[in-house]
Amino acid sequence: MKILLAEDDHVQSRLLEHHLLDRGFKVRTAFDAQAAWDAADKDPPDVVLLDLQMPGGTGLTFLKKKSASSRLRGVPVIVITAIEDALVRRMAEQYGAQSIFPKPVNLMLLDVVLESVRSGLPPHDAAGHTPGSLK
Amino acid sequence: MRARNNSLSPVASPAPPDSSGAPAQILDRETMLGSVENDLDLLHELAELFFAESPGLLAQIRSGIAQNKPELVERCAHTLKGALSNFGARRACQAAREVEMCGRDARLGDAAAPFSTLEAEVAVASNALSDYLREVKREDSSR
Repeated sequence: MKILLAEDDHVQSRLLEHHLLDRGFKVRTAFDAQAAWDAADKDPPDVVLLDLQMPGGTGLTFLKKKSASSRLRGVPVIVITAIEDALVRRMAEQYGAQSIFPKPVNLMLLDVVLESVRSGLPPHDAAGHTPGSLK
Repeated sequence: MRARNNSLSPVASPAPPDSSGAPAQILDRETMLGSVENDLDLLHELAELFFAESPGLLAQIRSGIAQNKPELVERCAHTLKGALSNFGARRACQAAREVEMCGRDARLGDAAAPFSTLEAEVAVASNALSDYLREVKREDSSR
């Protein structure tokens, strides 16, 4: 499974990349929102791990563009964020994020979510919510 | 992969209370080792990335405050907070959060003191991280 990891924090990015490679995923990294979009558009991944706050446009911008793209609309996005604002998290969900993980990411739960993506099941977020249940 | 258990005592510090009133740690080894799944080589690599990245982020925050760019201050403080959270650097995370909020609320006139605290806490956390890595290296070489 091909994963695009969009995260501007190099520490968090390397940590997640190491974990995902160790689990046998193919990983590409992008360190700003525009680079993430370009990478996704050029070669659509099977899933995107997306930080919400990055230079070059926010993760929300990425989600909005993705939902308008026939090429990328079906690609699941897992949001990873340290943003505590519930409204921003709700917006991410409304723009199509399938799961939302607070930082630092719980790697065991991430494995579970990625496995559910791989098997085509609706993913849950770190709190056990399914999409549409973050009320 | 070099690995160890996380039974070492927490990094000691004369810590100020956090928002809950409990003393906050400089680094939380359980969080730190949990983040890397006890892989010390990876922890070294992440620490080097942090040492390389954090001065630039602090410089951008300083510049953002001086040039009245709240979005830059918010984003860089947010990124720094995320990086610090991987090491369980709660005091520094709290300081980064305060600066981030100054940026988010466009209150850069209030940001000087929190930023000064953030610079100090990042330095303290960096030193503690360096000390910890040296300690681990010594233990490894003495085996």
